[in-house]
Amino acid sequence: MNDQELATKIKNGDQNAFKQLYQEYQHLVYDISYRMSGNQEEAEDITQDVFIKIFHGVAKFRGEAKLSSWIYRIAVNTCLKRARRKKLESWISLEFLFQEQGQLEPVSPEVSPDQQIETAEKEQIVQEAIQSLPERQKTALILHRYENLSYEEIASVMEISLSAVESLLHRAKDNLTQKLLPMKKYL
Amino acid sequence: MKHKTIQKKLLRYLDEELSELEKVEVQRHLERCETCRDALQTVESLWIAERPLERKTAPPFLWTRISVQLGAEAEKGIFKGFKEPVRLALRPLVTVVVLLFIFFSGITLGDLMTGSSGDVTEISTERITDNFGMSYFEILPPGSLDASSLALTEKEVGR
Repeated sequence: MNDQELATKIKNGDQNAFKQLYQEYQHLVYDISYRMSGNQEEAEDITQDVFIKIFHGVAKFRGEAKLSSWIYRIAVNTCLKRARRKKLESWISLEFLFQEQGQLEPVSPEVSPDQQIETAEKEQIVQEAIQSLPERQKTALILHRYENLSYEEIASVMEISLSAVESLLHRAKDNLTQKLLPMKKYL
Repeated sequence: MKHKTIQKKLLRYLDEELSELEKVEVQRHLERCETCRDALQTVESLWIAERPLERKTAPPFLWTRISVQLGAEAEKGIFKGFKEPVRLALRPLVTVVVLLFIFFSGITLGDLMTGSSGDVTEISTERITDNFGMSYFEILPPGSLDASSLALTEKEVGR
């Protein structure tokens, strides 16, 4: 069954078709939600929101773009919306005063002799550095690096031009390098 | 070129995303600068080690959560076809309409039970007179103590 057929069946209220779509795209949605939020519980809530939005909005899918791009767009927009709301909530509740933004935890090499643990620690350093990037740079980088989307697909998902994608990725990587360099002392 | 400018470009250098000119500049600088070679090693060890191979997997119970939410939305009855803000606005409106209907139905039903739609005061007076054999709407109703006294007085005066 192709994307358009699947979408049409869901439009007509076919629950099995929706379950099929969920099974096919749950990894994609959960993965991007997890990488964008950096939190498992948040990723689960976002994934749930995204699939509810897909169910209600499938009538708007006309098959002009790939279904996966359309789903990515919903997922990215949901992540950005929740991030903005969270930021606003933290300002209102003054939580930001107690948050250590961009402060990566020191990693001690003595406690991680094992290669796997060392790799996990390096992953954590990079993940935290990515989380501290501005939202749009982070989105472009995650879509490119972890979701393996082409520049054209990123442009379609983020609804921006190709040159804007290039610029975002360029700035994201330059910023990331500057955040990673001071981590040398923890390696 | 300054160290900072070179170091800023190291990730893009590793991912081969620099222009040919920039690439040559960085390579030349790295050949003669140990500090920047160290920086390259740091960035490389983090960036390469971190590269993920598989997607994060959604927990198995998530489908149940989604289907339960969809089921709950489907049970929203007459409002299900509307969007959330419209649905919220419709609820009090429907409540007011229902209350008004009950109020006016009560009045109509009351009229029907009294059997007439005439003057309420008139009907009440007639019914009360019928039921108790006296009119409570006169100054001295027949059968009252004052009326009896008046009749006795008139009789005595006549005698």
